[in-house]
Amino acid sequence: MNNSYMGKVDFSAEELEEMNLEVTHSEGAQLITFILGEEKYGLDILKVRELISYPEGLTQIPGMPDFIVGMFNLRGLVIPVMDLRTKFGMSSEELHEFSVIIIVQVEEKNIGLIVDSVADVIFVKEEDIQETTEMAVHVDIKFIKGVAKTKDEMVILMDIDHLLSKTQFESLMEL
Amino acid sequence: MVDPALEEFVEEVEEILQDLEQGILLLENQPRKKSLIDRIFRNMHTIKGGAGMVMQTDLADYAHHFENLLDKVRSGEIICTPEMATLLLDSLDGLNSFMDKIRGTGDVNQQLIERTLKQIGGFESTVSTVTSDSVEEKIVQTPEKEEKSTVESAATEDAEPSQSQVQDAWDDEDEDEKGYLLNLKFSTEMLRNGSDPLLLIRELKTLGDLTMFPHLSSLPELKNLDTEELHLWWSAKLVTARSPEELENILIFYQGDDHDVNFEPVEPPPEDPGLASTGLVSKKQITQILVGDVPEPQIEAEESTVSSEEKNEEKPLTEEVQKTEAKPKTEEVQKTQAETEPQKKSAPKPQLKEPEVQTVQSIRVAVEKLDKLQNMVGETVINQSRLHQLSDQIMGVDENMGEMLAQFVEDNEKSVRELQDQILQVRMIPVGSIFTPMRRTVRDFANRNNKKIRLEIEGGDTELDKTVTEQLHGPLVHLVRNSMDHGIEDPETRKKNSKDPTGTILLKASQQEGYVIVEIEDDGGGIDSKEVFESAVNKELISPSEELTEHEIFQLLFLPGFTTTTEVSDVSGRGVGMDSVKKDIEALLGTIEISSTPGKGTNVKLKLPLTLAIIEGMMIYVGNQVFTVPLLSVNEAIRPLPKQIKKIKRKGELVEIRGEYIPLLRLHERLSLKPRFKEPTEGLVLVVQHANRKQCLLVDEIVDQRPVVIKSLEDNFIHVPGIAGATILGDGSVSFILDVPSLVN
Repeated sequence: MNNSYMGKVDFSAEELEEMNLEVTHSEGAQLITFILGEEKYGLDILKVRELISYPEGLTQIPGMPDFIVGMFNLRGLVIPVMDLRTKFGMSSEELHEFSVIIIVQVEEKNIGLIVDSVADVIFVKEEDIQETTEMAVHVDIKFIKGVAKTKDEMVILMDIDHLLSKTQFESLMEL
Repeated sequence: MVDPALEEFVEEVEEILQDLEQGILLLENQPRKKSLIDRIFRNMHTIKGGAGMVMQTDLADYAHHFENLLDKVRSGEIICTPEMATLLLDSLDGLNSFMDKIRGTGDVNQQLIERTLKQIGGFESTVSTVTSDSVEEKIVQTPEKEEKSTVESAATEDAEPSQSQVQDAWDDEDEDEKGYLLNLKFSTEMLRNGSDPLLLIRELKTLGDLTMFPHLSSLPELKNLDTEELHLWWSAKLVTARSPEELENILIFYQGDDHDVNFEPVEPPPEDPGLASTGLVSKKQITQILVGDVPEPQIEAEESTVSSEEKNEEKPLTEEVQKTEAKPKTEEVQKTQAETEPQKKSAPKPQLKEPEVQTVQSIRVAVEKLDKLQNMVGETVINQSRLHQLSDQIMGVDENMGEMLAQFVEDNEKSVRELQDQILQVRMIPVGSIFTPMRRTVRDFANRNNKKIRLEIEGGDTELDKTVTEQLHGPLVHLVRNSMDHGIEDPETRKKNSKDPTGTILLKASQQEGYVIVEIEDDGGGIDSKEVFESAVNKELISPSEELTEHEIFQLLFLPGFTTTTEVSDVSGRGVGMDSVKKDIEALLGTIEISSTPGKGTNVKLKLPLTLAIIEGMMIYVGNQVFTVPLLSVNEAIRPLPKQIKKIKRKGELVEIRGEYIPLLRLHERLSLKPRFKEPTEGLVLVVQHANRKQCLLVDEIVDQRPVVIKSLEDNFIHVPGIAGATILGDGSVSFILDVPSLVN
């Protein structure tokens, strides 16, 4: 994790866009990688709107499961926040200075995801991505799209379209 | 659709199509109304022209065919029959399908296009069979210039003019106009007193279409004429929708002082208004004026009026003319022509123009931009409340600084409120914009189902936020369809029950204390509350032992899956409707109520907030969280005494307030929060009301009361039961707005 983004927490959409442009355009995907527990996950940078530090004053939503920690005001937008650790049954850790909320955009909704820390922005070639069949990870396998193998590490691709789909949210109501 | 010209075209045509639809529906009932035919023709022509400009040749071609047909209607070759109205309406559907294709939301309905084009042929071929008529009708279209010459000749030799010309002069009028007939006899000393009849005439002209008839009878010989005396007097016809009171207020300055100024209202005749309403001055009278050789029989009230009259000073005088009401108009034009009396020939063609509207400059703005603007105003409102909070904090540290800031915040508050009001105003549109399209729905339904239904609209100019209006459309269609389908009986049944075979549906809107009331009323069969009750019992929605008021029984209609009609109709569905209508209305923060009298009809009353964007909110604490309650739902806040709390088996807790028992809900239990006060006698009880149900809510404390900007939870999340939305407080944190209707039920 010796990269230049380490330690910096807030990124604006423009900055992310810039990072995006630095990479040559070839077949593949650009990912934001983040740490959750002992594993490194990645999600498509095009889904990421911005990164922010953990906000003050989240408002709890009545009747919601634990992993929906509440809503907060992001420049006038009221955005829900999901704690991925709690969601995937990992021991919920004290939020610390590197705790980051990744604001992603799925189905035109903006949603915040709490992760342990953001690691890097990487580019993976298409041939380096493997579909998953079975894997020993903490995260529920149905929210995993595959694994990207880079030269020295393995990044688990999170299927946030599925994780944050309308149907998933609506199923919250049945809990 | 990236081409801006095309985009603009689509927008324009959308508006035109709406106007066309209304026009055709009106034309069906008044097939000879010239102004209508012209409007429809113009619209079709605009579509054709516009389509050509954006290279939509198929569309242009299609519109061209209808333009041709309408041209024949316009020239009087063909009369618009109900069949033609149907064809024209079908053609609108055809045009709409072209638009769908351009928008990329559908495809051209070729079948419809071909059928309608074929039908045009049918109407056009009938033209040849009525050629003899059409010749005659053509004369009706004599240009004004020729007519004037006829008028002149009539004046000199009293010859019989071509009747059709006269016909035209009368027939061309706008039929359903209301107006006044005025007599303006001023004091001869008026000019000397520094007054001027022109001032009044000009003022009258601003009220509507004014036609003046000067009377020269009392003019003295030229050698005796004192130029500072007023000898002219006028009869005037004012076509306007203004009230008599308004007119009175203007004329009041010309009462007494030897003035003889009076007026009387003239209502349009009830039947075929085509000819008569124009006859505010009798034909005879006009002839007399003309015989008296007034070169310009009707002088538009302009500055030139007086000068042209001055020129007439030497002319022989007319007999004094008495005003009379016009004869009632006859049904058939042909018949009227036959009846036309010789005097009528000289009827001038009063130049009734479209009422002159003060041109208001306007621009078209995308709703999106308005939404953004409104959001920003919303942010400003939030910032304002932050400032408010800040000034309070500063006050605690430095009173002087705090005072200064507080003063500024207060001044700013006014501007922010004004800004907020203005942006809301901009977003307001008349609710009539969703009422009028119902005419087509009703017409088509009635035709298809052999019912006779008249749609009446009241208060269509009542304004409502655009979003509310748009979201009201669905429920409104549903309710009107219900009325048509289940309410209005077929003509035979209605006759049997000695009702007018034509049923009436009334759409009515009015404003009431920050709310808009929309009513859908029909004079149909009504709903029997006993049947509703039994049906609800059969469906096991209620137990037969339950005692319900009539009002409560009608509320059962809104339960999911409730329906009294066993048959399924393609129009109003399977009775799953009313609960979804209720849901839609409640999503608009509104309420819905039904009342009905069997045999007499049904009334559905919707109560809607003027806007959805900003409400007056009351902030309350439950535990450490601040919630917002719409102030309009809050009746009062009390801290009850222990003896006011009653526990009743199965019904839970009730609070007795002035003899009324109101159920108590401990909000902290409902919201699973840890409260400061668990007992109503320690905390505070808010009495909230939705429709006519009241509910007590136990809260910890009331914090504040101020306007809040409503944010939808669904924008970025999902609907959460019990919560109507969110708002951002002064400190930037999110507060949920409680959904009172769901808490009350």
